[in-house]
Amino acid sequence: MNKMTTIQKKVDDAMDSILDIRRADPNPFFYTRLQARIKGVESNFWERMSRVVSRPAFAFITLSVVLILNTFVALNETSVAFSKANISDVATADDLGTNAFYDIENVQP
Amino acid sequence: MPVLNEWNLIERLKEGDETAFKEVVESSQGLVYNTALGIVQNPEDAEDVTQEVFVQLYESIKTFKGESKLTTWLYRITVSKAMDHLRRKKRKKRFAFVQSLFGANEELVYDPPDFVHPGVSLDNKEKAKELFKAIDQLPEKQKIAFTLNRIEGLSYQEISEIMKLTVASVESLLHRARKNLRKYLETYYLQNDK
Repeated sequence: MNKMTTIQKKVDDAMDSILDIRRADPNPFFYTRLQARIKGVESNFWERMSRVVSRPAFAFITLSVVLILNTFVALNETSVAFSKANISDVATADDLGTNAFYDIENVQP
Repeated sequence: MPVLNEWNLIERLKEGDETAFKEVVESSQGLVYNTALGIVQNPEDAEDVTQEVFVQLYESIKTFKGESKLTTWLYRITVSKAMDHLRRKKRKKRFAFVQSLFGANEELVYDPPDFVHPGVSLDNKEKAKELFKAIDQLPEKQKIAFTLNRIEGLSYQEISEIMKLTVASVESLLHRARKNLRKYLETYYLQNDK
């Protein structure tokens, strides 16, 4: 019982130890140090850029844009490339039905 | 600071007036540093957090809508920066520990000695040392509320505005904080009782 009372007294004392606490201030010339830091932040453009680029949100947005563009291009390509009419148009235009151009190589003496 | 004066000061800050910025820094560096020190419990880290707070004020004053007082806004930034600082430090410590497991521990993890707030009177320093150790063990919200109330001396109403909570929630947070601190201290004194 006596031990518990002593412990309780110690706890109360610890809890009351900051009752008369005074406000702590930073070391002198804080404003000068702050100005130096602000100038450092302003001049270091690439550091700021790297901070923006390293954000997860930036990576997520970039990845989404790449995926959307890929999907869009892939869908467009399939609709154009696999249409039969287009294939025959290309074949006719390039004259793929004949092989007469090989004759140029085989000129008879 | 009277409302009209503060409004005028904010307008000058938004226009990029350096005298106004210096005025704000010099009048509020104490409140920012003291709050940060209460949370991070290290003078160098507290100075670092204080600088970060004013850099943020400098960069984002144009987005300040004036819905709360400038000091409330400063307290909010301070609390958030100090908590970020603590989380970063914990992450660094964990990473250093993992590195040490793989034998790549080139950088020593420095554990500072027990923290004693410079504003505590000489007679109470020893007792306060244990209290600050206990404060450091509190959950985030309880730690913030307790620091603002007991170290910065703010009222429940002011804390509720800073933490965006109701006064009743702040009361409850502080009640739980005191209970947890007593429990921690009791265990500590029971284990170290000679």
